[in-house]
Amino acid sequence: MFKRLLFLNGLATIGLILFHSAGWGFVAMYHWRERYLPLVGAGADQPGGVAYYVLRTMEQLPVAAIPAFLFVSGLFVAFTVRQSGRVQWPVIRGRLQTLLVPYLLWSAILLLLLIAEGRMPSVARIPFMLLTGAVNPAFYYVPLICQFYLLSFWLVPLARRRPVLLLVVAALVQSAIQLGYYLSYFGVESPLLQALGSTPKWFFATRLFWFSFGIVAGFNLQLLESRLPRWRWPLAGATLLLVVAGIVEWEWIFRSSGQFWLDHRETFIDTFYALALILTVLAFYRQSSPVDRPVEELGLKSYGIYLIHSPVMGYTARAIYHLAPAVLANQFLFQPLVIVAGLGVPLLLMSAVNRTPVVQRFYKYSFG
Amino acid sequence: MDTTKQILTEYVEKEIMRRPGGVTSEDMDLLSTGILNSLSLLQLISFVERKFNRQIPVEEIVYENFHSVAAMANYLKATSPAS
Repeated sequence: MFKRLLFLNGLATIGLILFHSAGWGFVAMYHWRERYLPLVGAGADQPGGVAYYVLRTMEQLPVAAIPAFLFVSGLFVAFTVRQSGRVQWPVIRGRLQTLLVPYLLWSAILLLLLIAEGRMPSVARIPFMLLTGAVNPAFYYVPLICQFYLLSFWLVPLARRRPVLLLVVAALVQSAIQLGYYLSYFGVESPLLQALGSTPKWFFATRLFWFSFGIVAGFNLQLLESRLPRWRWPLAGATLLLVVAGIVEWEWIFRSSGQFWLDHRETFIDTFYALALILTVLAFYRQSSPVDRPVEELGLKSYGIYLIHSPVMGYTARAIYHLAPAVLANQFLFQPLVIVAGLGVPLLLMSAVNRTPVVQRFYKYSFG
Repeated sequence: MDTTKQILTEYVEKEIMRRPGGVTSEDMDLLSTGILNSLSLLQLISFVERKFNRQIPVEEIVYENFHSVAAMANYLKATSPAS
């Protein structure tokens, strides 16, 4: 079952690419229409059409990606303490260094690119941006996971002694924030709910359940190994149903909100879907498929792909906006370009550094 | 250095550290130095199972058995079918 985690990580990496590619698709469909409508007129993909629902599916399937990454990380923490029972600061420090050095490197590169574009933030704002991952919209994950590694000194003893209590409390905290999101979409006026609904994505409480679940699972792997396989088909069925339910739910939220656009946030159904997907992947640990190896290979490169894909996709989308705007009108042209760039550029770069003896030793500092 | 330790050292240096000579001693703690993280640990376990033709039980995937080349080699020796 342990090896299945690499496959889960690989799936999550693919999901990340699809999610952000879909995001750019929606940007084109909702915010960039004036750029291409004069060129293509009625031939453009429309909100509510086939392309819209393809994008929605691409956006929905990967909502389990961040939960999966956090779950695997929590499980790793459990691995490091399973016999000794105590979180060791050198291990946590090593992990933080491996995360932060590439993160700071790529943040610095992106800040330089912002300067080149004439969009340099104020110097006073830069520390805040680095602490919260604001240099790039996808970078919030790094401060998030760093908080969890630091919190593991408290989470691990709880996971050992009171696992159910930990999971229940973590689920309640996370759900309270999700409730805040729901109610804010519908304009419910309440200072508390507005505060909850404004909780930034980089703050640990928004995803507390997933890392905690990973730690608890890490202490109970034998139990999972013995019990999960018999539930694999019901779990797979539940996963499929919850994907569809998640798409329907978000459509309902979006249309009921009356807003022009809503950025996707994890909902209650998404949470159950992510849980079902993670357990399904683990439950099938005795089965193998031809895609296992390539997906696992992607899983191994997940951090490097994560750091590079988002800015690359952004620049690709903007380049298409400026150079070939008619492509924006057709998602079946636009999406493959953004996906290939988002996955291909990081993989090429990582491969180039890995194969070049002079810089090979810097691979870890660049890509984790 | 015995063959098992050599194989493990070469793998860690080539595939994980990408730096020849990176493992300075067989007792070097690969976890607290940040060399092994969640992903590279999974990669290493996968390699060990393939290379040494073993299925490592999940309850034996613990820090004490995998934190250094020496620890891994001792674990493999102690749990070898021939021992």
